[in-house]
Amino acid sequence: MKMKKKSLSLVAISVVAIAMVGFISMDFSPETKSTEMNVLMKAQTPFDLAEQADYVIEGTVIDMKVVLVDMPKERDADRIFTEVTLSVDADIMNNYGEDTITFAIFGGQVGELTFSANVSPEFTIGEKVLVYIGENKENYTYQGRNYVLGHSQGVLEIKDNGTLVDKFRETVYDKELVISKSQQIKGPL
Amino acid sequence: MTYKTKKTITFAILAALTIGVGTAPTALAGDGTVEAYYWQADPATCYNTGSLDNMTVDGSTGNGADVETELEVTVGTYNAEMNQITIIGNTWWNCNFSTHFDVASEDMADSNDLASEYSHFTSTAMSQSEIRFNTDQNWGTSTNSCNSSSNLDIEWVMNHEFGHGIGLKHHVHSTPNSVMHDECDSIIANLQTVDDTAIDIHYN
Repeated sequence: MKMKKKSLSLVAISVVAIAMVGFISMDFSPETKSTEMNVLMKAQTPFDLAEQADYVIEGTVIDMKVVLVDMPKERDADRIFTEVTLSVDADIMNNYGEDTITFAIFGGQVGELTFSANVSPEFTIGEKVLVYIGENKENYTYQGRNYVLGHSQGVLEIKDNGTLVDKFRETVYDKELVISKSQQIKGPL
Repeated sequence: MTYKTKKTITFAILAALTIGVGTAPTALAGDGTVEAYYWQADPATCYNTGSLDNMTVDGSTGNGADVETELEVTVGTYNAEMNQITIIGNTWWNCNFSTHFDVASEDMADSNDLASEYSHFTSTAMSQSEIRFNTDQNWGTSTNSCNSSSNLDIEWVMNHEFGHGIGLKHHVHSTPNSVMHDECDSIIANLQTVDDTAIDIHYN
């Protein structure tokens, strides 16, 4: 009986310990864990965007980094951006003049915080793209980071067959036509 | 069974029950999406009439016209008048939401953005919907236009944004047929059949 009592006590203590761990790990905070940003945009063609862009860059995606930016926002999740770096293969419109360019897009995940934007472009390392860049104005992104004009509309995937694919609108453009028209808008380099 | 044994067993049962109560709230869906957190409400209570009294535009027509919207609704404060919202004849909701709606204007810099809606989620539920109109656009009421040169119809866009606020995503279709169409288009002036269906699915 003594052994039985001892076993029961041990079971009880174990159960209490597990209960306490469960209780401590409970999430009581009503803090925002994730934010979804839904943007209603104007539909824009590459030619429309060329008129607004500060730079049009042909490049290759070489780095993507999710950052939780130190900036005044009510919620932590809203401070998450993804920094995308391209190696510059060609300056298509206006001379950026650097080997690489970095711009920020909305969204990313840091720990349990998630910020997603329904219009943010998606990139993969090694992908060749044509990007319409806006210089950071009025801290649209953060700390001087450039942004992509028109969100997903401002990124065209460069295909080997000489076409550009707007993945967001599922539209295919002739690369040479887009480039020549872009250069006509603001003049050749 | 001795008194002590009974006491121990009772304690163990109570502790086990505590574990049950102490289960952490449902986490985000495994795929990282938040679709699981649409509110649950009786659709029948979501279709009443009312008015969006607090939304005004300052009447400016030039670039940067200020949208002076102020709509603050929380479950703790809204009353019979405020929990009914109708936008140009479309009543979106009259539900016992625990979500806080906030409407304001913001300079979005990218002139391709008309408006944004931010859905904020805690680990268990959607907690707030923020709707922002881009002050870089020209806005007006009853303009029946998606063209900022002739003033964007704020009521049309509000319709669309409230759709996000109650949990609807963009509806992409080659022939626009939803108030949730991903571009500003006259289709967003009114709730469409596909929207009614979507709302029924989410709230049933």
